[in-house]
Amino acid sequence: MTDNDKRLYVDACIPLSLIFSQYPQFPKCQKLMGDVQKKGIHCFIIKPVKSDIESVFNTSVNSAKNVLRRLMGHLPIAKGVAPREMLEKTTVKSIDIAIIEHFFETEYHNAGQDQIAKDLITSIESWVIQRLEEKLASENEVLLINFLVDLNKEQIDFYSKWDTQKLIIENKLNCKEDATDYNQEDLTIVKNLRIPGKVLDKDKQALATLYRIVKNNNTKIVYASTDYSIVLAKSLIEPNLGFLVSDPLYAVQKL
Amino acid sequence: MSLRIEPITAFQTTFIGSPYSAQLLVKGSKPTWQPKVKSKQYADKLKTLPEFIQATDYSIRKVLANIEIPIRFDKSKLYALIMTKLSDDVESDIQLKSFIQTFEKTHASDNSSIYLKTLRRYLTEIDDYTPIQISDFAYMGLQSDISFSVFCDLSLAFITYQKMFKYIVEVAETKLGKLHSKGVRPIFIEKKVASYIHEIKPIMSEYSKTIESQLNLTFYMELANSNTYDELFKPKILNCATMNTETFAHYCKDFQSKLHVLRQGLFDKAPHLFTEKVDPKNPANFVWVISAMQSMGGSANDG
Repeated sequence: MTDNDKRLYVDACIPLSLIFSQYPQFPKCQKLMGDVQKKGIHCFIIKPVKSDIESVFNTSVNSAKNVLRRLMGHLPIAKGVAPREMLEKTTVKSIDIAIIEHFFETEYHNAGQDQIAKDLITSIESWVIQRLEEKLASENEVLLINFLVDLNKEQIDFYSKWDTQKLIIENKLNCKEDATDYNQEDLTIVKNLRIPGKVLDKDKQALATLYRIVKNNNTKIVYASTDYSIVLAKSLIEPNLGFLVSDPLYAVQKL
Repeated sequence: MSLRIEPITAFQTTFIGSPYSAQLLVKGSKPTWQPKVKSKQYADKLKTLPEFIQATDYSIRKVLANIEIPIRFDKSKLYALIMTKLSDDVESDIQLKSFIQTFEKTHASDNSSIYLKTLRRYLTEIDDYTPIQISDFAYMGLQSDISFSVFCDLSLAFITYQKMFKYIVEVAETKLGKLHSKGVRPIFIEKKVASYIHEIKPIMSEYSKTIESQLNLTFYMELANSNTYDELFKPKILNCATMNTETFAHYCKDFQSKLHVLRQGLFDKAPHLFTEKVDPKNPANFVWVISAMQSMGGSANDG
């Protein structure tokens, strides 16, 4: 078997941990990145993994924007501004912070039992209030629409900066895309494995794609993941799907 | 969505129309559709800018051939409306017109110092224009129920074009600077210009694909959200419901993927242009970190 017959594939959590410096996975992923650079090998990215990474970017900007849109609808009504004048005329003053506080209490309540959704609301609230107070420190009132557009501009700025960070990490991981598609039969085989723990649809699609790659090519594959539902299921995955799964710490050594 | 000739597009279109066109055009992707009204009438109107007209005609025909057009619009009428608007805009924008004229008349091999001066002047214009364009997208994104990531990608494209133009200016300065000093032989000038074209060609080629995909997406959004010819290219709230979900998703995905390839190519050539860093203490950053956690929570933290 030559080096071309061996391929390292990575789960979305590896580039994401590196992009966002997420602990506790970050040191393991950093070690993998170092190994990849030392050996001069590529990290292959399959379609479901690529979509998973993209979804983080989409979720971030859309979560914030959706809250801002709801605030845009709520504030003029709560202030009793006539509908016709709503957006063009609605201003925000220090006294209106109480309305915003109430708005976020409702948002928090609506998040239900989902702790991360609640954390997300809290982070958006902190950001909105901090920016509003900064504005109101120099002006008595701000036009709501201008304030919200400025917040959206800040999200765009973050989108661009994080995308640059993504480019840097992809470059360091020597990422290459593998456009192989799985078929329904592949997915059924993965589903029939009945992997214990919380294995999401996107993870099953990733496993089905890797299974298809193994079937199409005579290639030794190592799939690096920090997802322990996958890593701990290696005794099920390896004999049935034909590829190795590994914690990122040991992935390059297993190639 | 407004329709205007962006400074960077003007540069590209004059490039496509210029003697370098054969080297820069994306092969095998010529427009298959011909309008009933030929663009010659616009060329007559804009006799001073034939290359620009030729390239614009090429781009618009290609977009109209590519995209799904609502039944209420006639392709030839759309072509005539768009070409008229664009040519009128160039006629009325003295600065833009002079930029295009400079590039049509003065190629790098003729007078590199005028060429470089024009490039630098236009870089300033792009630097001024990009934040205005981003503000527009931030406003449109707030009003619209379309995923905000679409407006973020459109903004990212403009940020990338700005970087790309900086890269072009840098290459031009390195390759063409002081080229027309006394005693420089014509063969040397030719070699340097060829080397400049060779250097920027791969990026300009990716840019052509990206801008084509961007036009497909934005024209589709605009046409689907307009009921009459009068409503076209005027400020409006863009709605999801007016569009075919699958078609729209296809245009978005294609644009995102072409933009990614352009950014990767540019990053390989000029990593120093990608220095922007996230401030971890910025409160907006926590929104991102928690979203990332939310996504990884599904896969990384369940074990």
